[in-house]
Amino acid sequence: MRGESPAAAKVVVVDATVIIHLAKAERLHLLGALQGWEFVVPDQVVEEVTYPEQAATLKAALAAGHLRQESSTDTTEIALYAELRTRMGKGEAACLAMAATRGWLLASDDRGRAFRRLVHERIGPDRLIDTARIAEAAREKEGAFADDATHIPELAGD
Amino acid sequence: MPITQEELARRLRAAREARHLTQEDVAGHLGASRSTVAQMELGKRAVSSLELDALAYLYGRDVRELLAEEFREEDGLFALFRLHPEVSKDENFQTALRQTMALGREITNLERLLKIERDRPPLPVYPVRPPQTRGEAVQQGEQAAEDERRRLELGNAPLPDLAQLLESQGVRTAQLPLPDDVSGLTLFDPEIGPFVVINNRAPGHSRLRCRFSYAHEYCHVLFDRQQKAAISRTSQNTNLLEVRANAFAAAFLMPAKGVQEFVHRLGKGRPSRVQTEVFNEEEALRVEARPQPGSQAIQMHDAVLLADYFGVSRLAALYRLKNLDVLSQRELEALKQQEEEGEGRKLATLLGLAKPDDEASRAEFRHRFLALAVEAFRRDEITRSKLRELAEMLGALPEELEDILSLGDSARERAGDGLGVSE
Repeated sequence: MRGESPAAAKVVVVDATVIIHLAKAERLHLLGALQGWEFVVPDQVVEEVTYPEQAATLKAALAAGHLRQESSTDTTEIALYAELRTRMGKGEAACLAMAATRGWLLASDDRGRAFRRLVHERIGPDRLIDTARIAEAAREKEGAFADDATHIPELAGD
Repeated sequence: MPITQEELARRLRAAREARHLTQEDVAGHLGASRSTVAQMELGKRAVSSLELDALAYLYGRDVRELLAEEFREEDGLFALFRLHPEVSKDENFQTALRQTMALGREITNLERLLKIERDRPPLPVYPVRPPQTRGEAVQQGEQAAEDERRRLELGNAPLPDLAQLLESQGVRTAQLPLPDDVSGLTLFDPEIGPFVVINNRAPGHSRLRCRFSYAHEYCHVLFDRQQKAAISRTSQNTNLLEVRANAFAAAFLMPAKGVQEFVHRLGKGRPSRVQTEVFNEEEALRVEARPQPGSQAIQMHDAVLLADYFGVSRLAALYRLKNLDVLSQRELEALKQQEEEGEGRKLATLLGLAKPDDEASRAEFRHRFLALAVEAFRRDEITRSKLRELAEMLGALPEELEDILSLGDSARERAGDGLGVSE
């Protein structure tokens, strides 16, 4: 699959629900501290995070390299994105199209059945993670950010 | 088979030119430089999905069309821009058209997701030449209205909801804001089908005007589908195609026989002198009957009742009575004067006639669209984020948005697990 890291890092494309949860908890920096994980946000997700404080936090996290912004320019990926747009919002469609085309994981806290069904159809249940899973991965790591992670699960999801 | 970047570039250029936009115009909309747009159109710079979304919206297209195996350069708006090049200079109109096309596609998509079967009966063909005179335009319009009523088995009764009637004939309808002097427009889009849009922000918009506009646009659907688009401007009411559509609308809403029957039921509309001959097998006896002087004259309250019965404005009713020779020119002028002085409105109130709910009419499309969106969410056909986007497209305010999303959530909860969709 195109885009898979040669160092076998898990590449995770992150939707707005996860960004917002982490931004609210002021824990976006965790994404940059997790070794072996690489976090990506599509242009559409950056556009979707509109509350000024959250947008500023995301911008700072991008500038600090905790995660990186990615565009879709491949016509196959864009065609999938366009198809998914008939049922999904822009950000989640961009995330799923990237995850499906590039073999990445998808992080989202959307619990909706329509969302999950579409994700399962395209990438299967095993490649869908959420904020709680990211926090769990952080807690598994030795280091200062393990404490940070304890604040996240109650914020993530229902 | 995905298309190449070069082919996408070519399509983007064709789509832009079809809207009579320059690269500078596009650059201004995207917040990019002209050279960026030029590079994209030469295939020398990749176009991102975000940019393609913005470009497709700007050109009134769907991203999927731009990436499809076969690209149709002539879409629903193509003919409209060809027939009405002035639209390309009217930024407000272009904005309205973009929104119109986007909403038209979304409602088409929602119906597809919900498997709502649309009746697509073949529209009838009225083989007439383009009218050469106003008289011919009126004759064609009135004749087609009569034929159409007969075809649809509507008799001479008042028409029900016009939007529903058009939808039942496979014509998609919407009420959206258009420029002030545009009462409505008709498009033929390969994906959306025949699409009639009524201006719900026109000065003097009312439910009754809306009915007239729907009937007017339906005439364009029936007669003008060869040219694939029509814009109805109030300033162009002498254009022969507009004259024909207005004559059609009046006759479709108020069939001659129906009006005559109604007027007769009021005990009016008889000639001032009736002559007959009674034959007794040997000779004929001439008999002349004269109604009481003045008893046959149509009064304002008669026009008020007629307008209410057929669901048209009082002015439309007055002109129809004149065109059917029930009113003389002098009587028409006198009644119009009374209407201008507010007498018609007062009489309608005195007669206890329900005031048409203009606001409800204005929001009719919005309700229909949102109801479909909530239903699609309830059935797990679209995600919550998509529901939010659809509500935002209709300009839902943040507090309304929360209500709509809650409505969607509770509708889904009520559906429970009965749908059998596993988590």
